[in-house]
Amino acid sequence: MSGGRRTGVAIGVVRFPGTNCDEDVRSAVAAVPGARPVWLWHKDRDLQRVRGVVLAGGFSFGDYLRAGAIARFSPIMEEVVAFARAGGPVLGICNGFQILTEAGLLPGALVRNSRLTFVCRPQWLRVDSTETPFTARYAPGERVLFPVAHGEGNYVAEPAVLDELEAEGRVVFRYVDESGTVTPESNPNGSARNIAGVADAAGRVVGLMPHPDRAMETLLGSADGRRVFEGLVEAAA
Amino acid sequence: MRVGKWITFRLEGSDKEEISARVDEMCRRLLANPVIERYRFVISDDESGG
Repeated sequence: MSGGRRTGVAIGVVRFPGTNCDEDVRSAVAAVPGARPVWLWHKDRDLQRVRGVVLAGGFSFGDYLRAGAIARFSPIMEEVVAFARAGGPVLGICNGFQILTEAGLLPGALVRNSRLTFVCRPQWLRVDSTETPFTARYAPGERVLFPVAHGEGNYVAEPAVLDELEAEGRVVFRYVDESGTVTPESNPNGSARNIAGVADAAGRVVGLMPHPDRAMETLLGSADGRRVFEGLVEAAA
Repeated sequence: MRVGKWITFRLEGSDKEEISARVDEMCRRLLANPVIERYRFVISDDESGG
């Protein structure tokens, strides 16, 4: 993929069998000036000196057992966990978020949508924390439009964990309506407290169910996702 | 309503304590997600002997 281009900030895009948003993420990373996407195969044990990692969406290992449950045992995940623990920026989108919770890098879990149906639609979100590399380029409380497309995006955690996430400013995105208000109707999947994305304690690992990688062009509905990748590249540089 | 999974498999070995520890680890790390699921298991002797 690098096609001879060896300069630029290397950002790893992890592919598991069943990942299907890898090209979207590659293209989103490549759209950031100075960035160079690097494929990372799930069997790799070498992060190829990337400075940031993105786990793309899809259905890794067919979502057998539970979404993300098998992917987290892939050899590359040991490297991703070590990279994250050392403070490297890691973003998990959709199935990537599910993998990060299964890997223990993020708290909570993602279960079947409350309506038990796959939900695929543009979704308003509110940026509730700008203290992560991925949201540093948004205004606090800014409303953004990212598509959601998932069957198991219902975020659950113990009330004490949810309280801790809120107290520490680790709820990064929430589902809101067009006016930016948290309402039950704007919650596409029944997630606790309308949580769409969370960060780890260090704020360097973020997972979210909606797809910033599908919000890259105004012509296609929204370009609100671009700053997620710009922030990643800036933090990784 | 209750939804769950029923998983059966065979393991080689004769030390029940060791097998029990292995199965517990398998449940904890893979077969169940302790954040959202609870698990219990029963170990029975292989009827084919061996």
